[in-house]
Amino acid sequence: MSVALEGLKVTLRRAGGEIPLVEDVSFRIDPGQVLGLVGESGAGKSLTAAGLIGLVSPPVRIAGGKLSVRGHAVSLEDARAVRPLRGKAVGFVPQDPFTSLDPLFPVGDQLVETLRAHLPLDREAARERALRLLADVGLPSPAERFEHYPHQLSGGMRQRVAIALALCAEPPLVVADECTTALDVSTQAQIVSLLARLVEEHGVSVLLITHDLGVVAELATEVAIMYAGRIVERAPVHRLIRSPRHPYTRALLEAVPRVGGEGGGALPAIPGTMPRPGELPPGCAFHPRCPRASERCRTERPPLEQRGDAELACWHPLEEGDASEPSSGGRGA
Amino acid sequence: MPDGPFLELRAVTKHFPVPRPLLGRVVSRAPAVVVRAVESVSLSLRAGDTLGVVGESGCGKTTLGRLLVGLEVPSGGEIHFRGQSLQGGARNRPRALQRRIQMVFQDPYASLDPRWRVRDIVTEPVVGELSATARRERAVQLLRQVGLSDADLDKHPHQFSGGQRQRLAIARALCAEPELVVCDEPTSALDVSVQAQVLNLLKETQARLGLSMVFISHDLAVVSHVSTSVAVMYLGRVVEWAPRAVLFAAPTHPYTRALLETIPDVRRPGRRRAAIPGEVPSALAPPPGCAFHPRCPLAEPRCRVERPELRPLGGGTLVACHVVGERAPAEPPSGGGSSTSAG
Amino acid sequence: MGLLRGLLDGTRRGTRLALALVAAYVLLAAGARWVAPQPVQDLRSLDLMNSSIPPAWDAEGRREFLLGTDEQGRDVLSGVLFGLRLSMGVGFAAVALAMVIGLAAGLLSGYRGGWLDAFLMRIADAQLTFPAILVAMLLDGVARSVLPRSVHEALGVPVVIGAIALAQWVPFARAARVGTLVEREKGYVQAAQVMARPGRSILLGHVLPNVLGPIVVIATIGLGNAILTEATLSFLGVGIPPTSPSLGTLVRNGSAYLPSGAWWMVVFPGLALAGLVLAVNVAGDGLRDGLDPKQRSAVS
Repeated sequence: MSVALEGLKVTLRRAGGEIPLVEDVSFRIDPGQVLGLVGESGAGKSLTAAGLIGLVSPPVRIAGGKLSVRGHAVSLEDARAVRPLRGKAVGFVPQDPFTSLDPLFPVGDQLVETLRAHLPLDREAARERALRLLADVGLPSPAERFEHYPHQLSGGMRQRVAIALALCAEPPLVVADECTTALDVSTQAQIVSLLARLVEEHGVSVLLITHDLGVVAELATEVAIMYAGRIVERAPVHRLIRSPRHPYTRALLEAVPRVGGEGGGALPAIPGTMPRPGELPPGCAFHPRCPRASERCRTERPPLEQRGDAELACWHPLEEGDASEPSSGGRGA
Repeated sequence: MPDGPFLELRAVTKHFPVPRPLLGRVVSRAPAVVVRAVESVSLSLRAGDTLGVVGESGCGKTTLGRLLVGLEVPSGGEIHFRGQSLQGGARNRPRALQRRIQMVFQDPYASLDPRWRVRDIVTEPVVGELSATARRERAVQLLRQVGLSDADLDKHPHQFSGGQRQRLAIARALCAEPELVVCDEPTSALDVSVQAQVLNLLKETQARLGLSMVFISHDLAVVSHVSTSVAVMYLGRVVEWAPRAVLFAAPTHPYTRALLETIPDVRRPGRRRAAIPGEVPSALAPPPGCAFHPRCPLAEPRCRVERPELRPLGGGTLVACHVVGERAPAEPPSGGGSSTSAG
Repeated sequence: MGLLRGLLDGTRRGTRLALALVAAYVLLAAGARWVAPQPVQDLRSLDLMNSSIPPAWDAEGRREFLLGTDEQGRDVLSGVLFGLRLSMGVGFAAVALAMVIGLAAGLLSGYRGGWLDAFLMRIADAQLTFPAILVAMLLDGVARSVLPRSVHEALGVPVVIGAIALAQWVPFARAARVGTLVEREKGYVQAAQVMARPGRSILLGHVLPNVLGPIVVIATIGLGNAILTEATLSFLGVGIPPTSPSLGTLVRNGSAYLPSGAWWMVVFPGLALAGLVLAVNVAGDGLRDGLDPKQRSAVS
């Protein structure tokens, strides 16, 4: 069954009113598919993840949104309805495995505890299951590592345990929040390949949150780009990368340094910075930095519109074959 | 002007003793345990060039940077700058010499004093040397150089974004009028578009002022963009050192080749990277012989026993590998990989 | 000043009330000379005929002696005000001195490390094994026996201040040392080292301002301790010489007359002391909470 999020809205209460941090975020992920949610710091992607599992606290609150999992729809504003989802319907793999594992308990025990919290298993059965999970996530010598404490494991191994924890209750949706960011490139590669395998084997839907376009290119089936709290473009990964429609998407892709090439010259950088919540310009939030901005962009915010199997929020999208046009000023502010 | 390369490291070594309780040391009589952070590194740099130092965490690149600016003192070997030997740490080196080498740090949030105002932060290198008015003027100059404005003079760091703080850090480093700037992962904590801005700023500043740079990073793509030559480090040693174009077009050391294969390439969606098997060993117990041999696809019996030295291979490359070191160079890497794409 | 504003911003109502109370105490004590109805220091203003008069609302009380008088005819209210001035003065001075000693030791210890660190911290550890009162009594006793009487009397107050400061410097040193160890690893400190700034400038310009936060909180709480310690010493008779009585001395004197029914001589100084220490402690607690960034709502 697909997992669908509708109209997530997260706000911050400040002196002078409530400002939106995330607005109108909706998506649908089919089983076995990976949706990459990409954005820079402050775009709201981590807040989206937190909003999904109700992990926000005042003065931040969830002001709207509906999550449909396994056929049931849950209003995300209702904290009590959201709690049982955690772990069972939505698994979470956090960024820093060191702080997500309790340093006082062996990893095996933590796995057993989580298993028994979600499933009706006795100790023996839970232990068996835990060992299988550890083997499944590629942890070397699982029986031995079962007794180890988190600090005795390397970063890559801890992340594997974190993934195992997320999969305990076989949730239909797994949210991976920057889970490869803190790892070395070679470990990252291992974890990404593990995730790919698990998605295939277990048929879960994965929401992959990251700022790393390379990881997204590798793992995602679909990509959604966030800017200033909203989704501005969503498309299947190949298409988004080969011919992005939103000027921000293209500028982002071009700003990624690549190995090889002559190396001389400037990287195409996007001038300016993303506006902070509460300081959004009128019209399209990206217009001050967009080389294609028109009068309409300055006054009217483009709605997110469906275009076949993709979505786009832009008054002047790039068309296929627009690659020759310069995307932004070279140097940046 | 003394002869010799602008910057030269000769067999630079840094060991950190692991502290053990006195009683344990006396009773067990085991030899002191050391972390071999940097082991016998020999590199050089010409004026105006950029040396990129690449490696994963624990390879010693950050320690190397700290040795250059004097935040650490070498346990062995020598560092020569402009022909002069740099003895000791920042405190012991002659002041004028010390200020010629400055550093840009990784964490933009911890590298600026939150209680200081911007005008004081960027002119800290000349505090006491200039009058208040002259200092203010200098601050304005520096801010303009890095793309910030006069309005920012009296603000505090927390009012700036990560990218802007790195610009401030660069301005501060430039204030001392250095000849060599060591950048330790300056863009690792920044978003992609901000990273691009800061990298452009670094390159432009380097060209304008004729600076030399040592650029430390774990990100091969970033290094590829800024360096003239690149040194790859593994567990404290340099395993390959080559001019930039050569290293990325025809990498020789198995670790370099594997590392290049593990870079995710945005241009090629859906491609799965080939992961290097195993994990980086602990610096407390490096494998005997060649440190990479447990994970190396080309490992031979000799590699387990004898440590390879860094030797020239032709084409400007130096490599430390028994297997590759004796073969004719320039076999294209298997699987194509991102190294051959022009981007 | 930004530090002060920062402290005040994060505080709750109860803390602000306590702070206001402390401020009121300070004002009263500072202005004792003008506020007090009777200049109790001046022996000539005393009249033995006025001895042991109960508070003004009592049948035998007199309006000019609002809280009554003691056995020598001294107005209790005035005595309390001057006593407050002395107690608070000694308390502030002792804490200030302890802070300076502790900061110096902690900063040097943390920044230089090595044998200096080990040495200073072992002294600190050793000192902590002695209760503050004992340390103060010891020092005072030594001063008393070594110095001639007149000198000791003149130096009475500085000796007590020094004794209390010596008993209290360790928490400051520890906090300063920990803060310094953290600051030492910060980029801006290392950048200052790389630009060849002298160690002293780095300590004073970068490390000190950034470790002050917790130090100020320790000071506020230490103030309560210092005041109580001084009162205890005076109560035990080894503190400030009785010619200029502090609250502790007043309590000591007054308690002797309690059995005879003259309750006002001990109760009012006691209440004043308790109120002061309570207000100072609550204010200190609140300031600590106010400083804790987690208590402040923030969205990164």
